[in-house]
Amino acid sequence: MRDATRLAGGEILVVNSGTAEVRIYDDATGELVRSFGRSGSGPGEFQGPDWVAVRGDTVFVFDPFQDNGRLSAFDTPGRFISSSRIALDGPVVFPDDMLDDGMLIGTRSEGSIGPGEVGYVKYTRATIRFPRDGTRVDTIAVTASGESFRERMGNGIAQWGIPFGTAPQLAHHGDRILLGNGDGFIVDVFDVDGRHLRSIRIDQPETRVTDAMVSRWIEHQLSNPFYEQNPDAAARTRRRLEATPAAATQPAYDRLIADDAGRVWVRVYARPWDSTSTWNVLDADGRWLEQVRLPGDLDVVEIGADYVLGTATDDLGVEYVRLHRIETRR
Amino acid sequence: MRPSMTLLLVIPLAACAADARDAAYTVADSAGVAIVVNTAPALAEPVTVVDTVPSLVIGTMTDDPSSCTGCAMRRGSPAGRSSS
Repeated sequence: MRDATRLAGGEILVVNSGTAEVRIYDDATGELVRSFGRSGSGPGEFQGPDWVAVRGDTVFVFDPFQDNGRLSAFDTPGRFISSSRIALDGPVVFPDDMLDDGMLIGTRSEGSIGPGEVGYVKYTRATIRFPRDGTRVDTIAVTASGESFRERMGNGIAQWGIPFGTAPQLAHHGDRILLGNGDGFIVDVFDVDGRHLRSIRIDQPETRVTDAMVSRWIEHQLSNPFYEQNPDAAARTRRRLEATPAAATQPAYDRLIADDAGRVWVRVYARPWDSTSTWNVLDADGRWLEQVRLPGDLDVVEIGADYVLGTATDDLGVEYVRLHRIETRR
Repeated sequence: MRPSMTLLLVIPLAACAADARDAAYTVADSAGVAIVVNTAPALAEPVTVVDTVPSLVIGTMTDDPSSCTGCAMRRGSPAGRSSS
């Protein structure tokens, strides 16, 4: 499962990379209504569909494993319309999503800040906008990104995230692009032409990272079926993580979503073992409205007027899609 | 870069009729960029409540299109399990 969205009629569209197809389910019964696409390299076929965007009656599916990035268009019944090869000049940049005007948005690493090529590094990124044929690229903003730790390994360099490290966040609504990385409760808002419109902040205290938190974080990274079945790999990863310096403070937030109405949902940093997550909800101008709690295991992909759509993983490591109702009390 | 001009407005958050909050925000204009600062939000009775029990669950990882049999089994299962 890679992505999901709700169609105008309420049906749930799911991108299933495992079977290389798009499936559409009835939102009342959960029954499979129809599916389209299949494994292959021909028109309307996928090798690893990644994300979906619905614009009007057209469903766009991006597949990074074909043609250096292929965007395929279908009508909502599932009939193939066309495909575009995304071929940006220079370093390959995969689009992360499609803007309302049909342009694509993606990020390109701009460089790193650190004492050397190994050890702790902090990244900057350029958020870019480009058309479906990749002929022109506009830079919307260059901002701080995530942080990681690098180590020489054989002839290459391995890198991994540091405990409680920041990570880049990107959301959009209409012509507004929201960027941040959780280094402080700051969300920067740009328009699609790169004008910095506002910087939204919430004044809240930092949470210092303790040794006990780092130990639990490492245990959580190792608590999955792969490491349980591969003790040698688990031991190597444990040594590596224990030698990685953790962040001094927790990120202020770790998810950023714009809902259908343009409200901004910002998840207060959720430790991996937290059973609920707390989201600060702000209006489109950045004014704080309220805090909303969601199940901690729900990885939110979309928020509508009366629903939250997300994925979760069951005890066997199988991903599934969940729809939760929103009730408004006024 | 230092801001070339700072215009500070202090605007109290309009109190909701149902639950007054102490939260406030300020807007400062810094070289054309609005800096919106919200004070630490006061916890109040939420206006928006998300049902912890999902209204729909869809399993998608099997090749079998009838995997929704599993969906029906999962439907209504309690949400909010710890991921640890």
